[in-house]
Amino acid sequence: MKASNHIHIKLLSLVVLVLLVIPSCVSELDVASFSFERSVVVDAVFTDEEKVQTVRLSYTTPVGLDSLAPMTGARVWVKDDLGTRINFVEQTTGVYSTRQVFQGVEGRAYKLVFVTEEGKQYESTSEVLVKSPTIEISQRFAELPSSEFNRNEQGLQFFIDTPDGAGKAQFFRYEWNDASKRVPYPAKFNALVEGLDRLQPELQTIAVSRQVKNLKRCFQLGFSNNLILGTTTGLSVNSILDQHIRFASMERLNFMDRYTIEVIQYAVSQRAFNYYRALKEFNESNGSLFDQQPGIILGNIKSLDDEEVVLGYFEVSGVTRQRKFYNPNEFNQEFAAVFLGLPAVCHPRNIKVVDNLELLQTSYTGPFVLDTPISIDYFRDGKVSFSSDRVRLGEVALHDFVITLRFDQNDPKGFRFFGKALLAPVVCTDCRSHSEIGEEPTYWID
Amino acid sequence: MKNLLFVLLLCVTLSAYAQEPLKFSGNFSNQPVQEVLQKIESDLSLYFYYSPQWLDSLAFSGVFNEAPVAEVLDKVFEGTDLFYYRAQTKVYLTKGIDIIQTPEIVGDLKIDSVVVSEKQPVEVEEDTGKGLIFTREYREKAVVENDLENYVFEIGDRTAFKPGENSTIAGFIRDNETNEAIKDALIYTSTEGNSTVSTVSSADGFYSLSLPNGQNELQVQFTGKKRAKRKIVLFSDGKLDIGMDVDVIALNEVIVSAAREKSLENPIMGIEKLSIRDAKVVPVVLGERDILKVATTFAGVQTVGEGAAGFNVRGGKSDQNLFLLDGVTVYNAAHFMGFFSVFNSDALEGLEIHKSSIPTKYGGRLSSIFEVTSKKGSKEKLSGEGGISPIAARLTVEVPVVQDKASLLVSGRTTYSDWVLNSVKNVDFRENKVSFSDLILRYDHDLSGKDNLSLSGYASQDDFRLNSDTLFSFSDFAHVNTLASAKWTHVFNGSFDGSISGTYSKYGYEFESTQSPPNAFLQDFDIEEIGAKADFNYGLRDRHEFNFGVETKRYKINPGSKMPLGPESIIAPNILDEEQGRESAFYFSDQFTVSPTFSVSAGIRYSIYSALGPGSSFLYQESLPKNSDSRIGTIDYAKGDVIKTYQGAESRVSASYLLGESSSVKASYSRTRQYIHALSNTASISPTDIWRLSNEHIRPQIADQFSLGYYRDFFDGSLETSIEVYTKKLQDLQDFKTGADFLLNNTIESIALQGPGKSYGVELSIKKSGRLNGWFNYTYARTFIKLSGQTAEETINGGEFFPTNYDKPHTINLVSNYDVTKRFSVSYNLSYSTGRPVTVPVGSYVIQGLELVNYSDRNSFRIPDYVRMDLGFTLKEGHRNTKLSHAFWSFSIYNLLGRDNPFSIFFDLKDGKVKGYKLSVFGSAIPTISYNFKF
Repeated sequence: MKASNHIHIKLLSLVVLVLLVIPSCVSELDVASFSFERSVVVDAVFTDEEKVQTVRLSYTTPVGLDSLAPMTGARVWVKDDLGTRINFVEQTTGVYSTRQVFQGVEGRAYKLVFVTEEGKQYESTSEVLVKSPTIEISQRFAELPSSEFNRNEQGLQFFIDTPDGAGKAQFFRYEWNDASKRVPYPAKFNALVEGLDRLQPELQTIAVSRQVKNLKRCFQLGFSNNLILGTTTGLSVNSILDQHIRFASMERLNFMDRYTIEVIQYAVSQRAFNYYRALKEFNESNGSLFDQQPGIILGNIKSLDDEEVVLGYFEVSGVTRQRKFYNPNEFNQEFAAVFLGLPAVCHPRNIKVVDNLELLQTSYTGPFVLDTPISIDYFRDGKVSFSSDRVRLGEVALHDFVITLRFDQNDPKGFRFFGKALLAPVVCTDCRSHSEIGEEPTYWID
Repeated sequence: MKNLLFVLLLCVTLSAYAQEPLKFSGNFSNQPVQEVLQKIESDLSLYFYYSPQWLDSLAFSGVFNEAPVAEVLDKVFEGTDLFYYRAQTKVYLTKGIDIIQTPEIVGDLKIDSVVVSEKQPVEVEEDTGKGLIFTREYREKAVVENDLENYVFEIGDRTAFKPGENSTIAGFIRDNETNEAIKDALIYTSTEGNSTVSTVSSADGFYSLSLPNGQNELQVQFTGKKRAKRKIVLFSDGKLDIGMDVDVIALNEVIVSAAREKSLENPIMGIEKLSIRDAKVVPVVLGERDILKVATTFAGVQTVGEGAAGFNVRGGKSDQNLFLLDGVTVYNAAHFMGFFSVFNSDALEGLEIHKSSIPTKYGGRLSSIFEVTSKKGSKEKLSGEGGISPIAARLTVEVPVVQDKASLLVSGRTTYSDWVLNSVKNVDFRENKVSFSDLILRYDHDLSGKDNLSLSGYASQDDFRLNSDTLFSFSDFAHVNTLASAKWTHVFNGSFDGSISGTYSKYGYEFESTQSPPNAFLQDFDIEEIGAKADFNYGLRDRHEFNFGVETKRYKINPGSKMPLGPESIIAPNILDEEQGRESAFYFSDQFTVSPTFSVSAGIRYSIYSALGPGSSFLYQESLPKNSDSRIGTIDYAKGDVIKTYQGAESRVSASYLLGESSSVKASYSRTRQYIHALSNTASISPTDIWRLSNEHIRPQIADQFSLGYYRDFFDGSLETSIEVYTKKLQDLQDFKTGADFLLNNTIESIALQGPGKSYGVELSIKKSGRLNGWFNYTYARTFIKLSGQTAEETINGGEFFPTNYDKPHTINLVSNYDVTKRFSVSYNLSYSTGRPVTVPVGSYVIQGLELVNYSDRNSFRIPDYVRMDLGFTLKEGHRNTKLSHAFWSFSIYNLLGRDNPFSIFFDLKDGKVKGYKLSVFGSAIPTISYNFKF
């Protein structure tokens, strides 16, 4: 099982850790010298969901090049065991879709056939559509060793169960997608404290670089990027319990306001399951000596003309899905203990007030009334220099910045500007620093 | 001091031939001898080696006129207790020890009752009287009672003395300290005027020699022991036991000569011997002395990578080596996934690797035998040894249970890696656990002079706990070796001895997953082997040495079971049927000395294996791949039923021909059969590998090896060179389909592939002893396999021969040690090998949004070559015998150059591109310091 490979990796990294040392290291390998063999690739999932069904045809590309090689001009159709033919047409290069929405039927067997422009014909084996049982998402607080950070990571582990049993289905593939929403602390400007002038070290310059595009909220979206497989074989009940779906680290969850996850369950054939299992094993190799011996993994598609290697699988599956929304306080207490919400640094009491900044330069040329503060709104895209030792370099959010012109009799110059600033880290004010701006997903419900 | 001189003597190439007759003139009148020697030194360019205090009170008077130097020296030392020995320009003085003038025979020459000299033994008629005079002469000397070396032993019955005939002298060679038998000690005559007759002691220390009646001088040599000398007058057949003393300081000097006991005359080829002392001079990573790691510096012994478990011997797979600890099979010889071996070097006597002509008494694996022997405890006094390294602490204690009769050896080792983990700054690893420990027990009892009983036990355990890995979590993983053996040895008479032994070995592992209560389970595997063996040695007229016996083994394998853990678990119990098998063999071999220059060792082993019930065997449609679709039936077998039997003869023949005094040629052929296979689809052996037995569908693996070698010694054996060529033909090598799943699989035949293999190679090796000692070898070796089945999934690389993943054509090893002083030595290692073959992608593609790579031909690419240098320093505290304990510090730097040696490669997606990466285990130099002591 994949598990055996996994344990090796873990054990090895642990052993390596214990050996103190151990500067095991990874460096890049030149892949240019690898030979290239072109093969046909089929990426097709045919389901019982009422939708436009899609088949992607392509060729393999040389390793290390991010080129695409779609197969265009093919004739593609799916045939069921009653002889019905469902035609696919090329929508964009290499992507073939049904003309209308189409829904696969439970118990029917389907077969993919396609003929290339050159006239070579390929065919999959017949795959029977199995109904997928309903699923229920749950989650628990968990800690996971992270190889990326070389430490344990806290976060939420999402699971699914099949509360009504698995029915006829035994083998499953899962996908998920999630989204989290963040709401920033209001700020008027983003500014850059540029730094000390070497000749006049007491001077600091704030460049009021841009006005905050006052995003009311940001979204971060995520998608499954590995194969998640499950099976009821080897279980004493005909049902999936505690199937691991997604681990969302605190890194990902912190600062969020609301979270949603959708899990999609595909009920697949045993053959498809074995195919994916082998793919997964090779795909997750990490260079340990316990990596499986890799080789060609053949799917269910064959050339009718010769012994050519065809990659990919024509999956026929029943689909069930569930989406759930959460507010942070709906997760358990362990989660609450480590959940930061809005970063503590952004709490109003932590917002720094810097006053009595002496303004030395300003791009402002408008009128001043003595002892009457002028808001920084007037300094749009300008620069001010002030002397202070209380502001650290870097990007800060300027919540507000007021400047006052005072008269000082003792000063030979007579008039001096004094400023008062409210400063907060950008993380508090710009949700883009932790999320993609992300348009609100269509499925979002507040 | 005496020891020092002795050492020096061993170091020099002793040559009694062709010394120029140096002449000396001088006139001395009551001058200090030291000054006399200085004059001789300056006039003749001779150099004297001696301890100044010997000469303190000595003065000499005399006149020489062009006198031969020998005469001069005789005169100078006349009337003193000093002796001298001259080797070319060097003259060694000894106090109270005479030096023999016959050519030294290097300690590791293994000569079985062979007359070494080309001359036939001189008839002794005229010596009859002289022998008795000799006795009287010596009796006149003031014999110190415990000076056994000068005492003249009378052997046999004086009245039965028949001049001119031969009588047999026999006895045991023992260690004076432990009273243990010394095996392979060289006993030879050094009687002046006669040619040398020699023999080697057997496992129980027994020796016998046929010598001309009359005066004789016997010498006994053994690595690490002071040479013993006995003067005898042989009247008739009789007995003489000889005890040997430890030569403490000599340890380093003789280290390497013991490593390769490759006598020119011995027909057995391809043996590598390693004493524990050899292991001690080789720098190792993290200070754990490891006999098996040192073994990888020998020609023909390779591993797939840094810290990998398993060995590839002459192109063999890692499951084709039989690891024996005191005759018991060890199924997993690795701790920590291969970073260390399971053998604690302190408790070991040595290691012998047979890689080509495997003795007929061993079988069951194709490639090699790793015969590890534990140390016998001392029967004389309590002693011990221990050490501390960054990884583990170890302690060995030898207890005499019955004085001079019985001893117990207890040796344990344990890691403190848990402590290491806890002290690691990284908080998150604190709850993890990685540790190993092992324990060796050995009890030896001398029941009578002729019977010995030896009991031994061994246990090793590795534990891993991985903290809260919620994905596929194995919270706890442990693997355990348990071994036990009992052996009774009996000596029937001087030329016939035998032993019966019983062995037990069990290896198993289990892992637990408890993170997800509904999916919590316990999964395990174990293999149990119970064996019995009777083995006999019979020597016939000094020309034949017969070895014969029978052995049988019973295997019981639990191929895997998975059980739910906890009340919430929904895991269904899945217990695979137990597998049972019986492997028996009888064997007979004769080591026959045809003539003084030609020896043959020929033997046959006949092995019979049966897979036994209870069990069931599936029937498959012929000409279809074996899987659930082609299954047409099942045959059930009751308990004890024979499911399938395989049998066959394994011939083992080797011969050697001496081409003069210092060179020989040898040739050998051997066949081996293997009925038990480790299921592994990975490059390295792993603790979760499963052993399965041959059955109806899995055929035994068979290997035939031919080898040819030329051996030549230089400088009287202080430099040994050899070149060996071998070729192997293999049948039914075990391999597996791509992506095969071994765990809980009850139809191994559906994932197994079997095909022929071939290996060939050349091994060049040079070994040097002396102050600068060590070995160097270069190996060119290739190994291929062919997997050609009926369908695409059963065919790899188009059904053509392709290199296996341990095919490393060029390998260079250099191990060297230089003794700067008696207490300080420096060692240096160099290791080079061609990168191993790996399978690399031939294209990338996308399915369901996942970037994937496609592989094609296996092993078409090689990872970069491997180069590593190590440096080590050993500092011993004073080695005076009076001191209660001895200690030494060792400091080593592993991978001195800090070279990033790739271990493997893998592929990962980065920025939307599949990229290849190299992984190195030790990417920098690793310094280690360790402390060892002995009391």
